[in-house]
Amino acid sequence: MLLRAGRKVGGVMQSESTIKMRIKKTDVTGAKTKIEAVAKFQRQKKIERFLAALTIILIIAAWATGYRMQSADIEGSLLQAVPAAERIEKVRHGSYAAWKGDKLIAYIAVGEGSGYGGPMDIAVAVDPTGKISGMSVVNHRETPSWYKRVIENAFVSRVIGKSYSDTLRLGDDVDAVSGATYTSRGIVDAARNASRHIAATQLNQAVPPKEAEKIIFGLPEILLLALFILAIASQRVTFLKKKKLRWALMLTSMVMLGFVYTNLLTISLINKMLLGFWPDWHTHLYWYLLICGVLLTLIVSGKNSYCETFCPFGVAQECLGQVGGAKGVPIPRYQTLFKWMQRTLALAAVLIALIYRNPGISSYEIFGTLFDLKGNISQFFLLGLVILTSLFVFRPWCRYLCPIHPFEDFIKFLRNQVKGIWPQKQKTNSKNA
Amino acid sequence: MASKTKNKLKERLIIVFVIAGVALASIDIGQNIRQEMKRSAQQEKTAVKPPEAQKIAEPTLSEEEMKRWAERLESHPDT
Repeated sequence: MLLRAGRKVGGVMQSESTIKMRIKKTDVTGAKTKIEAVAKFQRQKKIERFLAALTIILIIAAWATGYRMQSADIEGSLLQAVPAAERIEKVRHGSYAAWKGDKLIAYIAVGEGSGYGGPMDIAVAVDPTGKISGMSVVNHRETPSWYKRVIENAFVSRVIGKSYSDTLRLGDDVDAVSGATYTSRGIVDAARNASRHIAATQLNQAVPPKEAEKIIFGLPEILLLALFILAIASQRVTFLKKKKLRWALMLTSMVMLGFVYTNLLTISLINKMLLGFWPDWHTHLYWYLLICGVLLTLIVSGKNSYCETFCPFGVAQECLGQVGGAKGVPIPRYQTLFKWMQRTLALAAVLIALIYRNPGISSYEIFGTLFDLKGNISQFFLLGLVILTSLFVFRPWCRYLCPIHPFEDFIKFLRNQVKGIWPQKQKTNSKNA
Repeated sequence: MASKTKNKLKERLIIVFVIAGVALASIDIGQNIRQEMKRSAQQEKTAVKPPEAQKIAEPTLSEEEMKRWAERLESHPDT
């Protein structure tokens, strides 16, 4: 009876009832596994929501701490602008007078300029003839390696000796330090503002009228726009010569944005945005295009065109990968751990920048080290490590260390949360109607 | 078999990369913080505080001028 009513399962004869019992059990087990998986997934989502809320709270707390801690001791640096002065006294209109004995040797005012990392305060000394006789940087927020470059190139000496009546514009009568254009511009703008303030209020001189800022829209800005547009186009599935276009974009970006302009998206720019150090768009249009381009493409399509297609550092890694045959290596055991290490490092960098109110203080990217060969020992070591690993592993910096990746994940998370709320709202509206 | 060994080596390379990378990045940030603290400490050291009451530089009289003013006050007490 058994032989007649049964069938072979796995080479073994089994009765129908046994088979049915087994299927039922599998269904139950499968369903149980499914329920457990759904519960695990929901638990994970809850934890992610909690951590996202905690991140926002920490960022606000760090910002508030940094704001309270910031010192306004500008007067402390005045003597550095006029080392020969024996005493410094406050005069009208927020300026200072530097005396040597009974002789007035200079007036000092603190001018503000916008550097790469945010506002810079420069104490500018102007002698009674209206010439800039000394300068000292009171406060800056530049990335240390870039600031060091400006100091090593004695950029300040290019400004000393100029008069308040000179143009005092970068590119016109003052040459920038190569690779530190924003820092150079910040110092020159501060010198111009301070010297003209002194000339108008202390020397009773007629100063040149304040010119409307020229919009800087040159090759870097055009190139960036073109790269974004073409990157978005190349991500469309229906696009035929996707691969060739992608490589063309990548190589153009690596050469131009990397080696020529060294103008990449860094954690400094994000810190600057969070600190509220939004520069003048006339002179920093590139910055706005970069940040807005990344945010827009992330929010609209959920993809980061910059990182996926034309980040110069990512491209450099991919090129090395082509040489060594690099492939993505999944490591299930440590995947979550590495993901959270990367996120923790990025969050720590943001919090430190907010507390010190210095966007560049916690910038650990090594882009300048590769494209400009400038950096300290630890940066060169890290670069060597990235180069070596890139030969065998696909884009290791991007996958395991880059601070932009967690930022991108965070934006995507917020986007999904908002998307999750919105369809519910639409459903409730249609129900009520 | 060869690909398994290759993958294992790559796995180890990634582990070393991540650990060393995080350590080097932390050292870099630490150095920046140290430089920033040095700079603030130096700023405080070279601080020159201007006299509190002094707002506008006032001219000082020489001894002769003081004598003339004193004589003038004596001769014209109402001024």
